[in-house]
Amino acid sequence: MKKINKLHSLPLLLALFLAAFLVFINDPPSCHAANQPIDQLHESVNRIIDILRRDIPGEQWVTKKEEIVSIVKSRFAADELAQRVLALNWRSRTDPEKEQFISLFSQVLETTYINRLKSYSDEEVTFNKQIVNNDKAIVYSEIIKNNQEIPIVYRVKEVKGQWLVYDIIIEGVSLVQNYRQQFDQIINHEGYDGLVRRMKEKIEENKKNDIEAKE
Amino acid sequence: MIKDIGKAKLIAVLLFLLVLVSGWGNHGCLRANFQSSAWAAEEMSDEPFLDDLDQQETGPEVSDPLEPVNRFFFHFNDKLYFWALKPVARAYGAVLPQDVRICIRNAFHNLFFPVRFVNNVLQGKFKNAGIEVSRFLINTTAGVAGFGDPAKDVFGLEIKEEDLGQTLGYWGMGDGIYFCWPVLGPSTMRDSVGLFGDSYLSPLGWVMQNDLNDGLALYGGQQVNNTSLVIGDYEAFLQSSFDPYISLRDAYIQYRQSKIKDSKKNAKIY
Repeated sequence: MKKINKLHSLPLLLALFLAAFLVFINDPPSCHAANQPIDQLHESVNRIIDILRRDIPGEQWVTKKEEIVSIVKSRFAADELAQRVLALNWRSRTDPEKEQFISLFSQVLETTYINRLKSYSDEEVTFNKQIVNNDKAIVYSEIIKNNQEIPIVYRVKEVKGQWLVYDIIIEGVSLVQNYRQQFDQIINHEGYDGLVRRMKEKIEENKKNDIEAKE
Repeated sequence: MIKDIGKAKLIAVLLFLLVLVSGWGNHGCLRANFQSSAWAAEEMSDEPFLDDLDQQETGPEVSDPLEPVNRFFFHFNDKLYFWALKPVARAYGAVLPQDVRICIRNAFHNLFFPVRFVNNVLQGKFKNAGIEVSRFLINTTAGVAGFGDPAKDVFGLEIKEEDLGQTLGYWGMGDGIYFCWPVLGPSTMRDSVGLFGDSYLSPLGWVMQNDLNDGLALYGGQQVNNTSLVIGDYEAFLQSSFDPYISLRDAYIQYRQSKIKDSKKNAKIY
């Protein structure tokens, strides 16, 4: 009799154990850790890599691209990035101009860099350490390409519990500063309107290259 | 006649002196020279947070009085890449598997050991200099003439990349003016001087002094090999920039300054 009871309760115990296990996985005991910038970035990057590695027959790059773009967008502080790129020139802009610049610059980055992910071929990405200073942090990571480590540093700031990227420094070269230098030059020679025109042209050019590459 | 030979040698040295730091006028080559691992060990300070909006307008900038000439050579190098270097490197890459090309890159890198050793010593980094000696001995023997890198793979000895440009920067010398040299690409006054000095420590420099043709062939071979590993990087760089000349100049200056900063940070440890 006792034996039967034990057998009866076995599935229940198993189910309970599984349930507990699943809860445990979904909600790690160290909730605190999930709020760390390094973990948030690592998670986003892992999700992107999973999408890139995913091999569903017949799946279009466009589908993957849309998913990746939405992940990237939720991880970027587009406004902060844009403001830092314009730097001194930011203050003399009107609010609609600021809105337009944020949108245009995001599109420039998106159309420039997204398709480069297509050539991803199992490069290893590591996240090594972080330094947090109030609502700002720096996350150090590396990507290993052709046997060489390329250091990639993210500058992030906290917005409502999420750490958002506002600059990427690859091998010591800050993306924000590199664009700032170019934009300063363009504004000096062609004015702010010239810059807006050049950005629109760049977006068109990138989109055109994208279509040509597909055909 | 003797004078001419002397001149040829001088030109060879001059050409070579710009090799290490600059590479070709392409972004990919910057990458090819990036072997730093120092950042991983660096002691961090609060310095990286000095990027508040009010302070950030004064990023590293460089004086560029020769801009028109530099732009001319930038375009020259650009054409050189697309018309000569890239097609050759492509064909070369189609013949040799990537693993082999990585080994060849390792072997060239191993040969430049004296440059790294001496510059570590000049910066008083005796521990790093010792690591470089160990790396050279291990890789030249167990790594079969430097083709493999067991020093790193087996013993975990990371490269301690230093050159005279970094040493001069370490001791406080500024960039000076910016140059974009034909063939050799972006550089500064300080780094050009550094390259000249380093050429006396480099086996490639010694070969060039003895036989210009051999030296140039070796240099070309190295460039083709290394370029074959980074094809596409320069193209992507062009696509991402609004003014490639400014973008490359800024990238070069930022890259070198971060190297020198690393040099100074490492000094705090040793």
